[in-house]
Amino acid sequence: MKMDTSWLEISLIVDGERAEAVAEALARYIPNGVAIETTAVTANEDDEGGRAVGPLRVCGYLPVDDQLEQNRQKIVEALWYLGRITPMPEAQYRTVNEEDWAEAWKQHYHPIAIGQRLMITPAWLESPDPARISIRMDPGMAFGTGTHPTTQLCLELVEAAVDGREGLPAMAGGPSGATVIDVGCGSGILSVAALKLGMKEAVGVDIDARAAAISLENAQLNGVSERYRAGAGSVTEALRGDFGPRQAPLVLANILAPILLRLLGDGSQSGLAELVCPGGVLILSGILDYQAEEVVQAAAARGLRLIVRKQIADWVALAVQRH
Amino acid sequence: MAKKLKAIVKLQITAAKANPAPPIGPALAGHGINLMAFCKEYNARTSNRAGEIIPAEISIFSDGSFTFILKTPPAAELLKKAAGVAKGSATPNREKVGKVNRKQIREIAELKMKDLNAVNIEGAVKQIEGTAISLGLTVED
Repeated sequence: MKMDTSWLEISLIVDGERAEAVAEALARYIPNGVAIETTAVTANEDDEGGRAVGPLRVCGYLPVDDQLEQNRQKIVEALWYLGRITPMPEAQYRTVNEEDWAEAWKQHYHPIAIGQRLMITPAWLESPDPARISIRMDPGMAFGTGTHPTTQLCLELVEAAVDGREGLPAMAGGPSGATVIDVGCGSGILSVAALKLGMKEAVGVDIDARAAAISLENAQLNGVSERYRAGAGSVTEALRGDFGPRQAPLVLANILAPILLRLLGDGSQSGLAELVCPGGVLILSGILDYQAEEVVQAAAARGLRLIVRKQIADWVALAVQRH
Repeated sequence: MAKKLKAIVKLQITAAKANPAPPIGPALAGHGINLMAFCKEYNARTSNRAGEIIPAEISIFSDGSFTFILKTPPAAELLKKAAGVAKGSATPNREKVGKVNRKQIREIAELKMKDLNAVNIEGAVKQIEGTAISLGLTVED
């Protein structure tokens, strides 16, 4: 997906004492926050530690729009007044494009083997293991690159559910149509994996319309777009049937624990549990270990019994089955 | 051989609302950090403090990996809270918008001590006092 948003970067190199004052002056007109970077560090020889040395670079970003000149002038004035209190260097200005950083991290994105059968492969690389099912991904700016434990745990559970392992009922080719509903689909990585593992069709919903669009592109990249639908929305829209099936034997929600709890609800209205067919499986991920018990309890209160709990570092994923 | 520290980036951003837009995108992508992975981690760990400015200090290593810790809110936020003002002065050398006393300055310095580049508490007090003046706050005894 092409992104052409431009921003004006305002940066100053100052010592540690002035950095916070400059950051505050910038933040007053840049509500999305500021960054303070080291210009140099000394790394320890024996471990991962180290410390900042020398001055710091404080920078903020204004969107290039019709408010730019007005906001820039306010920052110039704020810095000028700050300079009356303590000496200030000249601010540096340059235009940066979203494409510059949207692409930059990709050089560090490598193929990742997950579970028994999957290989997440960046769209611009070849899979190093043809024996595994390759999920080709260009995540763009959507969540779901496969590198994060939450996604890896979820993929392992999707694989187990499709194959009918780890106490989960086999989904692929099941009598209920083998449909997947992916709530908070992000890049679409989970739906694409489920389809390539053998599920019949998938529906992805995301409150971020751009993520839904990126997921469609990834479905196309993997040759499963004919079996995949996506749109902007959440549980309410899916339950209403805005994207086709109102229920599925396999439902995925890799979001964050507080949102999962909200989507599970208190029973006063339909929620995530009602998206799951009786006997079907809901996979929940994005849960820190200290949050897991609360999610298990909330799921149990909605008639969902814990079957599998998996953990990587302090991230937990759960597979629960509807009565 | 242990991986080596390459850079430290501190982001002053709003809890639970991290996304790849600036300042996160341009500050981290050049170091090869997976932006969405950082955003997900940060949002998860700050979800119970939505709306607050919670700085994250990210240590970036030579192999492209990173770790981060959450820091105390910026001194400016704590000072504005102590003075009971919503924002600092646009002309701090001329227009004063509120007051803080030395006891409040010291309390903030003690809270922020571990996050400041100060050798001792006196140095931290001096930094906080400087930030107060730059906000247009009068420091009273």
